[in-house]
Amino acid sequence: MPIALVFMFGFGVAVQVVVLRPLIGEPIISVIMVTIALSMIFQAATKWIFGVNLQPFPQVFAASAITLLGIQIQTVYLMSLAVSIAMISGMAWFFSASKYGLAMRATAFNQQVAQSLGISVKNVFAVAWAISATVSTVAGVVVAIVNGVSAGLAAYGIKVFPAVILGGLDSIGGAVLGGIIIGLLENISHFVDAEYLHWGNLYEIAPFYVLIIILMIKPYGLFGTEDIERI
Amino acid sequence: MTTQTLIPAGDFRTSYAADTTIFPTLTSRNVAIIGVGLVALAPFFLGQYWLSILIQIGISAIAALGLNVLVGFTGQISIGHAAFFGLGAFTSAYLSNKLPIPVFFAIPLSGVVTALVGLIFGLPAARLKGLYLAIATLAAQYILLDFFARAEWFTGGSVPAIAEPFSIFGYVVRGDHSYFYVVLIYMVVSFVLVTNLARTRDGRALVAIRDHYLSAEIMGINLTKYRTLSFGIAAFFAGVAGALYAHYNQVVSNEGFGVDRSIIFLAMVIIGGLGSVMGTLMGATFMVLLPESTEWLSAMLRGSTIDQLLALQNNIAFLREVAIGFIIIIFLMFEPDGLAHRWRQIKTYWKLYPFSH
Repeated sequence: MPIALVFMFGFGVAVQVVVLRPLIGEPIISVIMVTIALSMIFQAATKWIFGVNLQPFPQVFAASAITLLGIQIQTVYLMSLAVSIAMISGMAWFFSASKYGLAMRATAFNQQVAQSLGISVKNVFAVAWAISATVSTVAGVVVAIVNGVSAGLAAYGIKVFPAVILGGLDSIGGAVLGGIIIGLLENISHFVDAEYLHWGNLYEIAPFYVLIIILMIKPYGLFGTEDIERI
Repeated sequence: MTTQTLIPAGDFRTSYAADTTIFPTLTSRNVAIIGVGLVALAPFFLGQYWLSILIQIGISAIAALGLNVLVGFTGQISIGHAAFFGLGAFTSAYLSNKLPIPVFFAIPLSGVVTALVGLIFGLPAARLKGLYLAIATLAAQYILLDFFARAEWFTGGSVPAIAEPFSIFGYVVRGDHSYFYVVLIYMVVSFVLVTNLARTRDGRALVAIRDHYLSAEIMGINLTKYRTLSFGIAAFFAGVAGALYAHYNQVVSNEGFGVDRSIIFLAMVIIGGLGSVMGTLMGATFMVLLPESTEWLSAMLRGSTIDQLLALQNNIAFLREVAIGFIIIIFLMFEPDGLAHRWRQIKTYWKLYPFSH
């Protein structure tokens, strides 16, 4: 697993340097398009190299159940929770206190101003890609421990967007809350669907309805900073 | 003093009317007319396979044109275009099959219906920007797809909906040869419409919003109105294209209107050139030919050593995706302004040849 993390860190940097650095200053639609194309390549390549079948993940945590407050809980879930909390608090510290995190936020706010203050925008983007690749590797591993590995893991990518957008793009707390809301919403709507409505597949679509409604009321998500523009 | 006729040097215009004509020079108009005429002759020379490719290009170009109004003119983002394409297909199939509406009217009508739905989704989107907008349109995509799967009275559920063949004045159009002309007419009309749109106040308002929406608002352009409108226009063309697609295949199944098709439309617009009408056609041509050419390539390599080494035979679908993704990235890195820009450069080069300045 450390090898995977180191590899993904380097891979994130490499992708940024090779593919995204030439795109600095291009319209956002091009950047979105490039990342989508990247995801096409990686998905197809993953299927090509590893096949499409579910593969069991080697056990990292001992699989046993403990009883907590009268509920049987698999340790796997507890460990996943611990990993998530550790990651989140690490990120929160990084963005609010460390020098590099602040530089990153400054760049997100205004690239030109950040650059004139001596921040290397190139490096910031490289590190941002490296972090996001590493963190999502951790998330991938956590999911894999719980659910097993397959190329279908990429479907989580689609679920991530509503969570982040719901919470607001530049807010870590928002991302956490958004993730919790989307997760709860899926399970609650699945329950309601199965018990009362019998519409089928409601849990897949409910988050998107909620997302649209919330964006209608708050265009920057729940906790995103509103863009106040001057001329 | 001898009178002499002065030949104007350089390219200049003296009136607004001259500045906003569709074709800047007489030659370009003639070339366009001759070009359409030549394409109209294509069924006499080309086989079934090439005709079907041309029809696909035409249909995709109409849909991509709508997306270009939204993305290229107004500067909005949409990754839900394929859902509107699908909605147009299902609407046309429904109108022509379940209601006594001839296909001839069903196609534009389904465009109108799709435009109305597009306006509904455009309303929340008008307030959003950047990534928020992208994800909101993604949500629209999933909601519409879910609707297709759910509304069995409308789409037939898991059973594909049947679309009647195209007919006009009782003459039923059968086969690619005749349908080619239907698509061609729709394509020419759509392209003329959008080119004209760019010349009107509304079209210029859209471009103004793209370039600087705050200034546009100060100039008295109603942002919400025009952003929603551009969603409506985009959905209209997607609907028409979807309807053409439905009557071409004569069955509409639930498959094939997913995000991946949205991405392909988006790729057409970006590769062709954002905000360029002719570029859209180039982009559509490119993106339709790209998967086909990977097919040819794999057919060419079949049985060779490279084939055996990489086990291409079984993995051709993956290989194609990799190739498409790769080419999109290469394009965006080295040709971010699209094919239309490159075309203009080639034109200027030859215009000034051999003196490049």
